[in-house]
Amino acid sequence: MVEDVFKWVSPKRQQRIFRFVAPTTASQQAADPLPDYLNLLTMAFSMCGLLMKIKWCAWAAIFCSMTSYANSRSTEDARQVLSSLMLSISAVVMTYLQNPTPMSLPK
Amino acid sequence: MKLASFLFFLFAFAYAQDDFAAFNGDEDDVPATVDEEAVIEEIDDDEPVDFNEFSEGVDVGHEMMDRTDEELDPDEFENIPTNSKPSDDLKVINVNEVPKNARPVKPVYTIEYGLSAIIVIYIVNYVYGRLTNGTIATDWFGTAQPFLESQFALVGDDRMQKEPVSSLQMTRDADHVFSIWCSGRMNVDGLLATLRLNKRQDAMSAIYSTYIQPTSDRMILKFTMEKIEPLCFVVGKSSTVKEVFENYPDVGTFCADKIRSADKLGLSNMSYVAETVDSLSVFDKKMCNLFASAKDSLISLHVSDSFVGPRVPDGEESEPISKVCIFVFDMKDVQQNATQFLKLAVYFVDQLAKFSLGKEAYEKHKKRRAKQAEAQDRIRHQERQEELARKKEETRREEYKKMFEEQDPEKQKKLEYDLNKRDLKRQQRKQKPRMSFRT
Repeated sequence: MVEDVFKWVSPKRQQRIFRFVAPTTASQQAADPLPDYLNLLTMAFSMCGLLMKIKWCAWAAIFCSMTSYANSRSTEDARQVLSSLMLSISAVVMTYLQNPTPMSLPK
Repeated sequence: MKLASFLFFLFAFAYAQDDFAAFNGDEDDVPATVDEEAVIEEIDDDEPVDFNEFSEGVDVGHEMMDRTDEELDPDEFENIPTNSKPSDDLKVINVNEVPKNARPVKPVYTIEYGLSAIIVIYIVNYVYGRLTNGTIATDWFGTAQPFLESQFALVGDDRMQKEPVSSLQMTRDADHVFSIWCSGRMNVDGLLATLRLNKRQDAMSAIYSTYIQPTSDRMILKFTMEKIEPLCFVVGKSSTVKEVFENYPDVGTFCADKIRSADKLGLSNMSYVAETVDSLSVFDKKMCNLFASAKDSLISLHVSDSFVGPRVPDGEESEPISKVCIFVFDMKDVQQNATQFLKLAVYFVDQLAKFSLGKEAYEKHKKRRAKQAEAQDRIRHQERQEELARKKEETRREEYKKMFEEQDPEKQKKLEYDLNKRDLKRQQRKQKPRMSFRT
């Protein structure tokens, strides 16, 4: 019986518990910078679509914002990601309000 | 001269008034003729106005106000044919007579419908991908939970709670990354188990990882060790070893440049980089057999006593130095990963904690670390010196600027004198030979 006890000693140590420390933002960004690049692209395309009234830019902004949302980390502020999505949608809406004609393929 | 010009100006001004003498027109006045029969209505301004009298007559915009052709003076209009009548030019057009290519066309938003359909498909894929990844993580944790609970006092740390209580739940770091922190074990400060799955929720990434650059789900077990010998090595697939060597500063600093084959460890098709060959003495016969059974799924094993995380851009702070043992496994089989490979990792960590380097190897490794620490200190000292020199230079520039901008010449002289005196003292200090105590 004694031998059985000494064969397996529980490795758990209640006094050696350490709390979790989250990794730094810099190391997280280094691991996966894609959401940050896509966010930047979303802003650029939205501005082009709104100011220059280019329809394909506005649609590209929507795709970039959706991809950025899908790749985003949970630690990021959700408001920033949602606001870029709203900006891209507003770019499409404003472009079509000013020029309702359908898009055409380049000739 | 000035008086003459002033008088001349006055004369000219007075003469110029007579230019308008022609308009002093008493001659133009026409004598008023008074008609004795005319009725002159006297209006009393204080009397209230009766607006009803203005309702008689025609409203503004009534067609009676339109001038007819007889009232219009033809001389006022140019380029209008005088004999033609407008009613002759007008022709009623029948819609059926208009050719089809000239008719107005209703807009068709073909491209917009296509793009909207792509968006809908993307959203559906996002929901499905997220659910799939969540299911994989749940299955893994369901299988691994009993073993983790037997090894660690804390399984899952809920950071919202003040006291450390096992949450028994994985944390969703992203839609494709799940992690759990376990602590309270001998030899180990903690285990961060991370499941880094394929980005099934992002259609673009899913297509890329399926057809262009195939990747698989990964399980990363990062053990933070209580104490290990001063050693650093990486064992794994050649491409991964190379990647770790380039991206992790500790491996790049301490390990040799050459990537060697791990055949002698019983791991064919695998490579390693190590500080010295003695570092790999932890792989005894039993360990080699265990690793041989897992070599198809093992991507890399990174052991380091000076781990600082991946390389970060200049100016950013890296992680604090820690002693780690990091396993990366390919998650082809979720159940196998959650049981066999997890147990292998825990066994290796226990052996690593008991492992001790030979005396020579220990001294060699210690010396290397001391040199590295010295080099770091030197760099830091140099940076501090440069910072101080820059601040001194800025202060000096400001003092000179103040001196140049000083309005009072006496104060300016005094400031210049003080600055020159200081510069002279500095030069004399530099030229003065240092005392030597050598005999």
